[in-house]
Formats: sequence, structure tokens, C-alpha cells
Amino acid sequence: MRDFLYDLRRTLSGKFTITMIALIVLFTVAIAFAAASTSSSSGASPSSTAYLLPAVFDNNGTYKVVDYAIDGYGHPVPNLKIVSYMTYAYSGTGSSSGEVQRYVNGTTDANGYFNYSFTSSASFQDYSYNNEYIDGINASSSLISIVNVSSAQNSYFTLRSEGFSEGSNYAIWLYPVDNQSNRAEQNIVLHYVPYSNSTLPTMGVYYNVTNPGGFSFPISSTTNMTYFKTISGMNNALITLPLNRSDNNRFVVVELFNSTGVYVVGTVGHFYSTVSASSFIEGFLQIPYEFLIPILGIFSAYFYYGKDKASGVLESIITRPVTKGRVMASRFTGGAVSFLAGILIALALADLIVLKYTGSALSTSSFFSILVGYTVEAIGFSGIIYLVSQFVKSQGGILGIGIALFFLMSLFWADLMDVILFELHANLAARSGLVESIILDSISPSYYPTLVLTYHTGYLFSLLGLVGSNVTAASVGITLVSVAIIGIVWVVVPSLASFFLARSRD
Amino acid sequence: MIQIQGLTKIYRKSQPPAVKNVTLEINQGEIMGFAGLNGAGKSTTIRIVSGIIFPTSGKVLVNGHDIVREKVEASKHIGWVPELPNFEPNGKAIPLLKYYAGFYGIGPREAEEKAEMLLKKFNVWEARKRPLKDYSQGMKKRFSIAAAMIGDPDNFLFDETLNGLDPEGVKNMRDFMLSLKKDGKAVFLSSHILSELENVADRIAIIRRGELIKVIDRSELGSLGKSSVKITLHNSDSKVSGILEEFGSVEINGNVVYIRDLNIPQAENYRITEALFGAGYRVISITTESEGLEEYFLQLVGEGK
Repeated sequence: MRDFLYDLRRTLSGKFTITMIALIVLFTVAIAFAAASTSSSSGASPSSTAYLLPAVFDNNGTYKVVDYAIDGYGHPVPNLKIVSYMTYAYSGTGSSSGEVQRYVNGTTDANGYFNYSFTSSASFQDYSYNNEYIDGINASSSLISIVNVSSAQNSYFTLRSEGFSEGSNYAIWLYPVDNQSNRAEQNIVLHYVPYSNSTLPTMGVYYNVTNPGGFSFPISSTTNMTYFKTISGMNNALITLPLNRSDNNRFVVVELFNSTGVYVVGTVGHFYSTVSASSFIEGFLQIPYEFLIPILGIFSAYFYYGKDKASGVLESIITRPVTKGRVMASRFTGGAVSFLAGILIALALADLIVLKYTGSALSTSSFFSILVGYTVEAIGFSGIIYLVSQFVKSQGGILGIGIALFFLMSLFWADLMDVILFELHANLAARSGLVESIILDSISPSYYPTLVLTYHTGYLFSLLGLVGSNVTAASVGITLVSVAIIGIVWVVVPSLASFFLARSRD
Repeated sequence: MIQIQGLTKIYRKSQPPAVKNVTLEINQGEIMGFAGLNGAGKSTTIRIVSGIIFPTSGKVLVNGHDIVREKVEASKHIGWVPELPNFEPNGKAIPLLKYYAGFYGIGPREAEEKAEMLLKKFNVWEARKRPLKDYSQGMKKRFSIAAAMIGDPDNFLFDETLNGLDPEGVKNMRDFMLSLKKDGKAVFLSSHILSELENVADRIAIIRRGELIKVIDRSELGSLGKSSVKITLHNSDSKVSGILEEFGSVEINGNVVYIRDLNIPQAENYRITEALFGAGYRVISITTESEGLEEYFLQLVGEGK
């Protein structure tokens, strides 16, 4: 046993092991960083997205449009080309009735503002604009219209919806944006638009966190809300509510009250809304790991053992006080431990990166599901190559078979099994067909991560985003016992067969 | 001490055994030469003794430990020097020797000292920082000896180690083997270079088609095979043939007479002289010639071809 432990220690401290662990870690960290740092609830990078917060005033036929452009983090966007228009209808006789459009086009200034004034005798005006721009290009498929219900009654008019307040000579926007330092949390842009020069009068910011379905809006009373702070004297501010992970995905009502406690404006939304770290990490790891893990399993087995065995280098070790079986076992165990260590470190770092950017971390069970799935896959492929090395005597032969197995058992396995099932006229719509499909897929270690994650989520095809399907994992035989048995089989059977062959074959 | 008992190795059932029922014993302080044609089974035997391959039947005991059943214990007492050393191509001398030393339970510091001593002894020290793939064949063999000695085993296996060495290398190797013998080690040396076996071996085992056909003791090397006698007479004639034919096959060439395939022991050669003197011949000189190892070897392995 001492010889086994000695060779294992040497395997674990070898250059190849260190290189392999570093490769897994760096590769994973790189894709985690790339995926997490560019993730956005809107799908586009917040820094390249612009939102328009307009206000329109009507003062006895003198119209004033004040557009304010912010990016996804709430920063003002200068030089944004805005295309919008005012419309009014006129009634004449016959064909003389219709609409008149006035284009309100221009570019935001250095502070993100675009102001436009005109006079019109029309008693009704609508303002139509694009709300969202990506890289300076309109991203909205349709225009938003601010409808002047009656300028005779309202000297100001703008969007009638939550987050907007209109007073006799001002408008206030509360607009949710991403928090640049914590992607889980959203800031709220407070945009105060006076008709003439003034700043925000004293306002109290209150909020209330409620469960989905349990909120009412507006609450319009400070009694049932939590005071956050008092603000005044500015036109634009970023409000970051003191939320934490326990508020994840809960509704938050935010309201402003003036100095006399009268409700002014409010908004509601998920201001602490994290992505699911589990599905996020699984999502960005799935494709790269589909290549990386089998390749590492195959190549590590080749470099740890197959190459030395075929080239004769192993003979110079076997003549030492060590048995062939133990040399094989120590190399295999060293590789397995390396996979585990590499994936463990990589996953932990990826988790930290995702936590930093999304505010969501993997649960312990998700962490271990991903870890176990990919580690067993790597060990499974490695074990197959150890087994191949007992029969194939040339380095090229082992490597060639390894590459062929990568294509067969990793890249095209599911497709091949589908072809077989098709030929067998299996009905994949029926539960029995799904079970057959799972059994066939499980013949390759490449399916194991999917199997573990399916068990973990409880639903079939969870990786395809079909969670919520009524096909539960248990109903198609994916249980803790079956998953554990298949995992043990992949870890133990090829390696053990290889061990006994190494002990008994030349 | 290496005891090979009824060793048989069959690679494929469709082929004859590579080694068949070989029994041999190499004692401490003894150099056992191992001679045979290509494919005779020398390397197979040595690879079984070293634990690289398994015997089909029979057993090998190294200092009393079975190389198959007690591999770890048996291998502690064996140093193997192959014909074509095959080490990690990118490995370097000291780390590799230290790695090997670990299998013998030698600690890193002691292993480092031992590696330095051996590399200096076998003239590889200067190349210690170069990868082994850059070593010449001679350097690889010297490193291979150092690697074999790292565990200070009692038994050494040299498999065609003299092949490819220059004369100086051969001499160094010969001296090294003799020093091992002097230190009481058992040396099992297979070689095609029969003259070298003659020079160093205490016994020479000859293998043919997997079967051990002869073990020659060093004391027998001078009298291998059939002897012949060369006689120079002062006055030879045709009657000489009739006088000497009872001792073997007579061949006359002027005053020089050869008796081939001598049928009397060398110790009784005086009878030839007596017979010639009795018949009135003057003998100027008489010399006995025996077949060399090479002729004897070729004769042995050629039989049954």
C-alpha cells in the first residue's frame, strides 16, 4: 500500500496534474466571468442600453418636451439621437379630417437632456416616442404614446402609469435600473422634471416588501411602509433600497411622500431580483464542459498511464518495488482526485463570480450536483481509456480510440441513441419511451451530469429549460438510488476492470 | 540469489513457448552469462525475472520471494538494466532517480545524495539538468545502471546491456560487473558478445528455442567440445596415419599431423607421444587445441535446426 500512496502523491504533485487543475479552473473562471459580467435582465449590456424618460408640459398652447436619457445603470446618456413626434387630430368636413404630426427630433446634450418647445392651438396633443435604445438604435418595436386627455384640464401631461407623478409644474419619474456594483439589486432612478428651473422639494422615501400577490399599489400611506430616507434639492438621484437576499424576487413598493406626508409618486417591482445561480451556472458550463470534461478525462488517462504503458516507460517503474495494478490504481486515483479538485475549485470560483455579479449563489445541493455530475463524467471517460490501454499496445492506437470515443460517446451519443430509439419505434411521448431513452443515454458517462441535475431539479429535461413539465424525474426512474448506482458504475467498473487486467496481463 | 524454477512463457497458444521449463539458479557473488540466438527466449526470461511480464507457469524466486506473488518484496532485491533504456523522455536524472528511490522507502534527502553519488560514479552528473531524451545511448545505459543501483539490490539483470557500447563502455561495464560480483551480488547477464561472457561469467547458460540446453562452468570453458592435437614430426610418412588412427581422425600435411576429434582425454595425450616414439618418429612439437565458446555455442544451438 505504501507504494500506491507514494505513486499517488507523486501523481498528484506532478506537472500534468497541476496543469490540468489550472486549465479547468482558468477555463471555468473565464467563462463564468464572461457570462456573469455581461448578464442583464434585459438581455443587453446595461451600459449600451438607453431609456428615455420624457415629460411634456402644455402652458396655454406652448408645449415643452423634456426628454432625459439614462443608461441601464441610471447614468445620463449624451448624444442619443431621439426620434419622436407630437400628434394632434383635427376635425374638418369630409376628407379634411385627420392627424397632424410634428417631429420632435434631436440629440441629448452632455447631461442626457433634450428639450423641445413649440406652440400649437390644438387642444389635444399626443407625444409618441421610443422608450428603449440599444447602442443608440431604437429597440422598441412600437412607440409609446403620452396622451393629453385634455389640455384644458391638465396643463401637464405624461405617461399615466406607475412610477410617474405629475404636478402642476413638475413631473417625477421613478425608474428601475441595474445596480452596477451588485447585479442582484436594482437602483431606482429618481428623475425630477420641473416646468421651470427648480429642484426636488423635500420628499420622504418609503418602501414596503411584500410577497407576490400580497401587495397593493399605491399604498399611499406611510403608516404601513418603512421609512428609508428624505431627499431634496436635486433633479436626478439614484436610490438604492436596503434590500438583501431574503428579499429576492419579492415585490417592493416604493413611494415618495411630500413634507406633509401626502403621497406623490410610487413604483413597484423586484428591486432585489437575482437570477438562479444554479440554472445560470449550469447554462454557461454546459456547452464548454461538454467538450472540456470528456477531453480531460481521455487525455489525462492517456498521459497518466496509456502513453507510458504503450511506450514502455512504465517498465522502468514496474521493475521497482510496486505492482502493475498499484501503478495503474495510483495513476487512476490521482487523475480522479485531480478532476475532483479542479472542478471543485473551478465551481467555487465560478460561484463567487456569479454571486458578485448576480447576487445569487449556488445552494449546497446544486453545487454538489454539478460537482458530482462532471467529476463522475471525467472519471468515467478516464476509466474507459485505462481499460483501452490494457488491450491496445500503441500510443497512437490509444489516442485514436480516445478521440473516436469522444466523438461517439460525448458529442453524438444522444443523437445516436435517438436514431436507435427511432428505429425501435420507441414512443418518446410516452413514459416508457423516455425511460428507454434515459437508459440508452446513461450508457455514456457524458449523460451523467444531466442525470444528476435532472434528479436535483426533480424534472426531466431541466437543462433544456423545460422545468415545469409534468414529467418528474422520479416518474422516469431518476431517483437517488438509480443516479448513485449509475455514478458508482462509471467510477468503479472501468477502473476496476482495468486494475484486474493490469494485474494479470503483460 | 535468483532461482528460476520450471519457467515457461507462452505468448500465444498458436505459437511455441517463448520459454519452456527453464530452471536456473544464480547465486550471490556469481555472474551467470545467458547466451542464445535472437528469439531464443533470453529477454523473455529476464523480463519475467524482473517482474515486467508474468510467467505462464513455473516461478522465479528473488532472495526467496516470488516475483509474482511477492512482487514488491522481490523487486526490492532486483536491479534491471535493459538493452534499450526507456525512461520518461522529458524527465531529468535527479528527480527521476529520487522518484525511483521513493519506491524503496528512501527519503528525499538520502535519495538526492544517493542520486548524486551514482550519477557521478557513472559519469552522468554533467548531464543531470538535461532531459533524458537528449542523452546518447551510452549515457542512457549509464543512467540505467544508476537507476538499477538506486535501491542497492542484491541481484542484477543485464539484458543485452553490452550492445551498442563502445570498447571503453564495454570495458567499464565488464569492470562494473566484476565489482558487483566482488560485492557478493548475483548478476544475470544476457549477451550476444560471447567473448565478454567468457571474460566475466562464472557460468554460462545457453538457451535455444526457449529451452535451456547447457550450463557451462567457467572451469569447463578451456575444454569445450572435442579437442584436436597438432603434431610436428621430423620425418613424417604415410605410416603415421596407421599408428595414430586409434586416437582420432588423422590428417597429414607434410611433417604436420592433425588428430581431429580426439577420443582420449587431454590428460592422456602422452599416449600419442609414446606411440610415435615407439615407432621411431622424432616429435618436434605437440599441441592440443580445444573448440572456443563461440564454436561450441554455434555447434550447440545449430543442432536440431
